[in-house]
Amino acid sequence: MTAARRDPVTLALWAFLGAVGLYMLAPLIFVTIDSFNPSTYGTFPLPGVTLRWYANVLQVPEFRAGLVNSLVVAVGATAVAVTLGTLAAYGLTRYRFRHRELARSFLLLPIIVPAIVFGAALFLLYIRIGLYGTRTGLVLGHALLGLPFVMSITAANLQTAGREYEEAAMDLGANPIVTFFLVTLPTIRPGLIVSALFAFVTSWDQVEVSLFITRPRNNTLPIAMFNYEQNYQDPTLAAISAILIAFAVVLVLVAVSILKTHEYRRLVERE
Amino acid sequence: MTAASAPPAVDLQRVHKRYGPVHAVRDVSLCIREGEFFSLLGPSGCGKTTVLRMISGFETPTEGHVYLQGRLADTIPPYRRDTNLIFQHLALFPHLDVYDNIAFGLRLRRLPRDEIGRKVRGALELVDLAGYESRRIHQLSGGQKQRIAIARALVNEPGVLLLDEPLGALDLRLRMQMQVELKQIQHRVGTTFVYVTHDQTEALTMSDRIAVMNHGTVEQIGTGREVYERPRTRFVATFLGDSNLFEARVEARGPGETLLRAAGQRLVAPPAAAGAGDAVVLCVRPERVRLLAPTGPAPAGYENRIDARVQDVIFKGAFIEYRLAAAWGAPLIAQVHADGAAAIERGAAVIVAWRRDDGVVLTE
Amino acid sequence: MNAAAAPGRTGWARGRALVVPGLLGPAVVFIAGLLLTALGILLVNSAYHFTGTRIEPRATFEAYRRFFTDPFYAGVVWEEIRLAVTTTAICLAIGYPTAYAIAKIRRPNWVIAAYILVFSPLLTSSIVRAYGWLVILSRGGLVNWLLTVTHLVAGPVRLVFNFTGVAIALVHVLLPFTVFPILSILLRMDPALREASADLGATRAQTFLRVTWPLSFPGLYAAAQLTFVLAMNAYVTPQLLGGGRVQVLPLLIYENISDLNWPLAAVEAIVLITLVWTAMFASNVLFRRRLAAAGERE
Repeated sequence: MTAARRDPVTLALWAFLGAVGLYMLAPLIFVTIDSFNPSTYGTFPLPGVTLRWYANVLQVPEFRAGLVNSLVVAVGATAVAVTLGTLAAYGLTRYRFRHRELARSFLLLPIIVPAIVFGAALFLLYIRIGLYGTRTGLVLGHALLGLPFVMSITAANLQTAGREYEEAAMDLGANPIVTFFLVTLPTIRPGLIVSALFAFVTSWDQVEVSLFITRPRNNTLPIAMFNYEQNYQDPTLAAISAILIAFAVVLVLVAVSILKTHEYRRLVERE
Repeated sequence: MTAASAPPAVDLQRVHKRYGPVHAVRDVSLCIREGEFFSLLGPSGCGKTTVLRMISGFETPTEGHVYLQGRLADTIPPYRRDTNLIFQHLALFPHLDVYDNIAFGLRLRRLPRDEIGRKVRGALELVDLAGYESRRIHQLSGGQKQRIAIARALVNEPGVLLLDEPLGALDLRLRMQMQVELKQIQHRVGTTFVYVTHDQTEALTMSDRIAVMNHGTVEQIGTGREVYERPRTRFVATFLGDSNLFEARVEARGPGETLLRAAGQRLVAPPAAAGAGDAVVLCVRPERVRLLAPTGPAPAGYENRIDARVQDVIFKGAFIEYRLAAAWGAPLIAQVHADGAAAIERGAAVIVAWRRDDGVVLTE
Repeated sequence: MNAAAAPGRTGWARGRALVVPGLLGPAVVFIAGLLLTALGILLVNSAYHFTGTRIEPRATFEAYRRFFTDPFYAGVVWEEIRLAVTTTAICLAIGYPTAYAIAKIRRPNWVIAAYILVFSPLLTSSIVRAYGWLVILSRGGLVNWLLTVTHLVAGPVRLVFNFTGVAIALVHVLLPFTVFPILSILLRMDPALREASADLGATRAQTFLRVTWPLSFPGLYAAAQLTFVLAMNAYVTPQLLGGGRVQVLPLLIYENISDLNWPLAAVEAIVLITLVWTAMFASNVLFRRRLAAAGERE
């Protein structure tokens, strides 16, 4: 162990990894520092410390409205994506039919279309059918982006979970629909949670599509921030960013603790 | 067809199963009696699991028919069949505890709560795990999981219990113990058991009758003793235990015997359904042959005698196994009860001898 | 494959007339109804005539003519490819050693820490990260302050609102996507292979060059493809850090939609999609050739 530690190649690797870690965290750290910067044009070193940008966040109505809108849209988009994606994944993994691979590729199509292209196309569609600037339009657009992730994650889960549990349920007298709710859904629950998180984050951080299909009065939070950044560029943005970073940190900590207990359980189960 | 008045528990009539170009099961007919412990034995890919899945309803036959208790069952889905299956990997629901696993089928039948409780406790007692109701599945040992799986299936009082190699994951000692227990449980409940395995010892240990399968067809059905001592085909002879096989030609058929010629050697075998001049295979089990000194007197009845040389001596505990080469080079094998006598040396010349009725003529 | 006769088809899981359409139908209809319809309308719009103030639904294809004759657009496409290639190259150069180092960590807590370092920025919006880079790289920002304090430069250096700034921030956005495929293939690699190589007398460098590197090639390829495609599609980073000086197709698409020149935006979108799909297709073909040439099997 000690020999491996002193070896220069390994040391260089750790140093490199540390540098990359710093690079990855740098913008998040400095956004947080800048949120306390009294100077409007983020200068270093900080001339002092202030909380007024945090107060300012509450003063900007676009942020408040955007937050609510983003939450509603993200929840709606997640619900649509998880429902459609899970049904499709179940069909793809549990049944064999003509053109199954074609169907799978088709369901992955939203991934390979650049979001900016989809946004522009969706705008041209929405202004024709009256969905431009509506929450429904946002929910549908975001759900489409999340659908392939939900489908792939859930399909992979169904594949590993195998059909044996479902067959056992049917053997014990459960018809296919009862089996789906009593056995299939509970066994793929971790995968469902992960895919729902994916769909939620996809919508929550969405910019390229939202940009085209929101109106100023129903902006999502990222669009409100994007506009603010282009128009004002004061540390108010840093303050709201710091809040969002804190939110992400909490999310990561929760995920890590879940991961740990899950790992722990998996180890125990194996013994 | 059995002469008994009650219809057979499982009756397969000329069943085929094709997956596209793959012919997984060919023309299988089986008649499994009520209360029987019946095994489907064969190497992996021989179609035994497919047969089991057609009985349980997870597969429908491409041709032929499946009858359960005399009722045509071809298209009845698994959840409406009076069969229960113990899966290869058990498939105990990991999100439910022991009680909920066992009660699963009873609840679906909407039995009253106290009756479910009574039956679950009874099932746990049957498998010697009373008091385990609230355990989680991942807290159980391999053998305990095994028993819970048995309890979960038997609690539904199925007409037929199907078992798909459920002991495969256990280590050897536990597996042997579970084999005995399964047999005892079957005696106690009297349910028809249909057991799939690729392990000949397992099949011999537990079964009333065995169907030996190969390449999708049933090669032979009979009691363990029948299929072991009177194999009908070369496959059955080699799949169950070791065999000495002699490619031979029928020279003549006498009263109560068949005269064969193999590698220039005359051999005497029991009567067989083969005419003079037919090519046959003579099978002799290694524990039925005796090794004689080339100079010593021949014991009575040991009419078949072949000169051979010992090539390898393997001590196997209860017996000693000799690997030999016949005078014309063919490999032979002999197992001699280890009674403390000194083993024959490697390289020694011996005579391999057996009685007429120890051989079996395989006509294939 | 003839699905009607596919193996593994079972009694209960048979594609009974309505079950499969019932399960897949909603998702398929959803994608067809939204994505395909929208792309269809985009395609139709690309042919229309733009008067300078409004769209006339006549198929003139003038937007195509303008895009392919005006050298400005060739310059934008060139800038876009240059940006994508540069960032992909930097990402691979940083991402491979990063993945390699993470794969070597043995202590579970350090593994989790490394994952958090590399992947947690994904949980924050690209806008937050772009703003962070503005703070760090601007005239009064951290980097310029450090450079001035250490007397490395006389006056502030321009690090934002140009190609460099966009590249620095874009690499940050894309790096997790580069690391992930490489890391997953390194983790799946049987450690016995490296031990066998060492046992057969290879030095660590030889083991890396002859065993690890060639075996990790599929991950490297996947990483390169993913990074390149995402770089081509990037909008937020070039917009916020380019300050109008870095023109790429995604920016033009939004700009032209806002200016009501939908036909031109549609043509740019079609060009972008074509470029991305061509790159994906070409790299797939190249990768398969290389695999075939190396005689490797999946």
